[in-house]
Amino acid sequence: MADLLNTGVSGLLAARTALDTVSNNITNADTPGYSMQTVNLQAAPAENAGNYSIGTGVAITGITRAYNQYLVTAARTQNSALAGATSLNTLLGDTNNLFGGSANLQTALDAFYSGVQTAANDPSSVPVRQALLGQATSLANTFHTLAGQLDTQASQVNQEVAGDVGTINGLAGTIATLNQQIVAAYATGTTPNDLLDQRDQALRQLSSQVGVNVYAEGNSVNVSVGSGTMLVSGTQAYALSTAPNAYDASQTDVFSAQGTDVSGQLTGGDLGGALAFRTTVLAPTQDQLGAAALAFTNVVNAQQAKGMTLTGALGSPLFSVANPTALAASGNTGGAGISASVTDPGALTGQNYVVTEQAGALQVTTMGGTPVTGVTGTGAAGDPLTFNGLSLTLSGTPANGDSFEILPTRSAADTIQVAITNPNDLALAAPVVAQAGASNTGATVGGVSVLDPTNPDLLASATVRFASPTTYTVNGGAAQTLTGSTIQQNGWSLALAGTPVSGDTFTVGSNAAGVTGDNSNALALGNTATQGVLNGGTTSAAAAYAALVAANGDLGQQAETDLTTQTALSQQATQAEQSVSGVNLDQAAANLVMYQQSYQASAQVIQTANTIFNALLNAIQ
Amino acid sequence: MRISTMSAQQSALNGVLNAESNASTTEAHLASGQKLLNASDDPTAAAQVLGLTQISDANTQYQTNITAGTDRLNAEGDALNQVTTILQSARSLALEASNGTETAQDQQAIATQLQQMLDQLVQVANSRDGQGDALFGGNAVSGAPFVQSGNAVSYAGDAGQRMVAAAPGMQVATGDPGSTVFMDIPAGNGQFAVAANAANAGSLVVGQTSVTDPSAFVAGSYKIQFTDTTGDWTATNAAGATVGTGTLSDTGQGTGSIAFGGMQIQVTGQAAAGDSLQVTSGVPQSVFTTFGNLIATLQGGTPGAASSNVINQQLQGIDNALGQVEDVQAQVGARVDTLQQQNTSEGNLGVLYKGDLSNLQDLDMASAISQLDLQTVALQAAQQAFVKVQGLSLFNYLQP
Repeated sequence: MADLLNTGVSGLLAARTALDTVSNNITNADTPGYSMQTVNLQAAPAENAGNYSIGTGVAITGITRAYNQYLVTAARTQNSALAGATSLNTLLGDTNNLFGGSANLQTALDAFYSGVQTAANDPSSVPVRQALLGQATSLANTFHTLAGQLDTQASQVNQEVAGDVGTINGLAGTIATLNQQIVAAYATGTTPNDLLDQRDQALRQLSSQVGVNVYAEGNSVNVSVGSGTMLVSGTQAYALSTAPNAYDASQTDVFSAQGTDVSGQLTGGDLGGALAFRTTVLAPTQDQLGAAALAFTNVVNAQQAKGMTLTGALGSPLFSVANPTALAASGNTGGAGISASVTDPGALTGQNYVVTEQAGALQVTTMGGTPVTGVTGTGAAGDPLTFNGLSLTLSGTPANGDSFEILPTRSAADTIQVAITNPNDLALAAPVVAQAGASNTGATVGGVSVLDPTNPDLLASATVRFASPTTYTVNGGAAQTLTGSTIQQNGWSLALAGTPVSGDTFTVGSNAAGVTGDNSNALALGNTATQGVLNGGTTSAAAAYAALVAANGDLGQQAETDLTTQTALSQQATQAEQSVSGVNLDQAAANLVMYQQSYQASAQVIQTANTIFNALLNAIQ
Repeated sequence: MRISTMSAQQSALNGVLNAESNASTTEAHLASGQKLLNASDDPTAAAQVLGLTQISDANTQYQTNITAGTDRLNAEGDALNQVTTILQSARSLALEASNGTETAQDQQAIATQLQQMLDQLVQVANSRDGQGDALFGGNAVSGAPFVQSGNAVSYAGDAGQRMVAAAPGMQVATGDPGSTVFMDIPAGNGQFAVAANAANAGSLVVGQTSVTDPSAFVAGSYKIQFTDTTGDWTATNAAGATVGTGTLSDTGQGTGSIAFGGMQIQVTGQAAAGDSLQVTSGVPQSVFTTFGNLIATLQGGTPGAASSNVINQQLQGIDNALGQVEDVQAQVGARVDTLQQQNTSEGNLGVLYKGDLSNLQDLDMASAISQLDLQTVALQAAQQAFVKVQGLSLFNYLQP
């Protein structure tokens, strides 16, 4: 009879525990990372009563959490991908906004070239020239605005990297501590469900920051990032750190506890997204914008040099840009510095380079590590290292292994400036003028153009005299033979119209007298709007800018699509995981009713035991 | 599948958030009226917009250039019209002077009138365009291109020609240098000029001259020498070699002609022994020199064969100058026509470019508004779904 009471009591205890568990589930229904818990019940061992055995009630074997390792891992991976896509999309959205915004380079370029044409229509007017200088300044400012916004994005990425690394380190510490507590709890024989939930939640938060690899070792988990950089090993957390890039101090990189730069290895999560943005979007955008600035400067200055100013001098550069950025690695042991210049913008490849001193010679590779071919020179002052349109000169002696980073166009858009202040210095006129002799009976002047504005004798007066239809002398010098119908001398080229006869003369000299009215160089300057410079002289500055905008637009569109996809995938994975681990309140309500009834029934068993015991007592009385 | 309460709630909420985000994007497009808010909305169109903006802006600028160029050409045309008027008046005066009935006094009076015309001509030749640049100075536009000293006028400009960019790769001249218009005017009949020696004693007057056989004509200078009073002549070239001889057929009666080397020279009057004529070719004579010669001869005041010869020659000069001005005027007219045609086609292109840009950039309001309506309906549905899901709970039915 005592068995009936004990059985009833075991039912009461089991129902009570189950009710506690269900209540706990209900109250934690909205707790992030909480896994539904269930009471595991088992029939208590039966008592042997001779030729039969009888059950002794119910036993609680444990409380387990609903958990599926595969689904949790999948949800965590998708979470990483989603955080990465979100971060990339947000940053790219800002970049695209920038190029779609008011600081439109094309409009500024068009305004500048309109100014050139207006000056060509009235070359002697100083106010018109002043207006052109104003448009040049506003164009340079547009470059500055765009480049400045990109610089702001770069520092925003730096802040994000630093913030993310701080969060990652905090979470790594939490996971290591939880590992310790979980191992200790298991040692006492209990299953620490809530600690396990907390650890999974910490891992999920960590995966939002950066893509992680998680693998179990006993009751602990080990966490690594990138290509095997250990973050948590058992109870030990290895903190990541941030420090300036080895070459570019303005760029914050992520370093492992061992001091290795792991920025290039980290993918996924907020940090992975920010780093991917920096390498795949921001740096190429800065380089391409710089290339456009460089191309524009180059083509305008080349034409300006072929013209004559209102004061009768040859044109000096209208724009200036800084030389390519050349950065020495922070770990260099030699005292060498390096300076770079662009010799041919058409030969630039859009690549950035690393130059390394190896066994007494400089090796050039791309940032990706591919050796560059066609490198000539040693880098000494008289023999610069030249490749792909660049020229590098070392100062001092580098130690073996010292390296330098060369960013050919990174800073061009930041540094483009209008180099002349006096509107008279705009070279709108042709520097030389040709005049046929008054008594010429054969040829007349077809045109004169400048081939080499650096020729010191360009503006010197030269008289061409024909001794026969095919031979001529210049300033009474040695006889020369006419080939075709052009004469090249002193850096100019004189085209003849008609066939010269003996005695025909031509004088070529400075156009200083005609600078007020001559607009031929202004017209030529106007034609540079569509002149190809980059990519072997095929891409104009405006085309380079349009390509840049389109490329960023493409990336932005991809990032948006990617975000949509990742959002759906992540929601699915989370839902799948929640379908196992999440609390369903309807289920909880049903369980509540079930265990309540179970409790009432067990109580009834005890009541019954009491009743039959009393019946027995009454029978004896 | 078993749905956890939290994910049911999250799904319903995601539905609402998505619908809100879609509606808000459409709203932003509607508010700006732009299809392309960001390059990522349509990267290809974004690049096309930049290219079209460049072409369209350049097109507008070309039209501005054409206006400026046309203004300058019109100013030049006006000036050339004045020149023609002056030259025509001068021509009638010179004809009057050459008819042989004028007295010395009459000639003086004509000379005075011509003097005034010369001053007027220099003034027109020095005229300026709307921007204050000299019209006929070539590229030397600031100073006066023609400098007058007495009756002599010299050219201080150069041979430059102002151009205007009218279209990509198309430049049209908006001026002609004074050297072409006024200075380098072919003398005589355009190929050679004949001048009588000032010391001629006879009454020989040079009339019509022409090249009758272009294949035999060699440009150069020749001298025609009369050896007696019967009209025998010998022509020698610059080196002194004889290139032709002959006898004037009908001297003293009216016409006679000298022909050699493909040239024919009509003369009237009687040659004296030792008289000579000088033939030159390829040496231009400026319109100012023509005026100067006329004035000097008429002021000289002795009508006769010598002055008739000079006046005839200057009349030819005036005709040549008129021809030259007409040529330039025709060119100016052709350039204005070219510019106007280009302007019209650029105007049409501009409309086309604007249309293309609008197609790429501007939002189709009707479809955007209907899209927003649809999205608003979707948002309402999502919100209602959320409320419905929220209200469903078994607990609602477990009343004590």
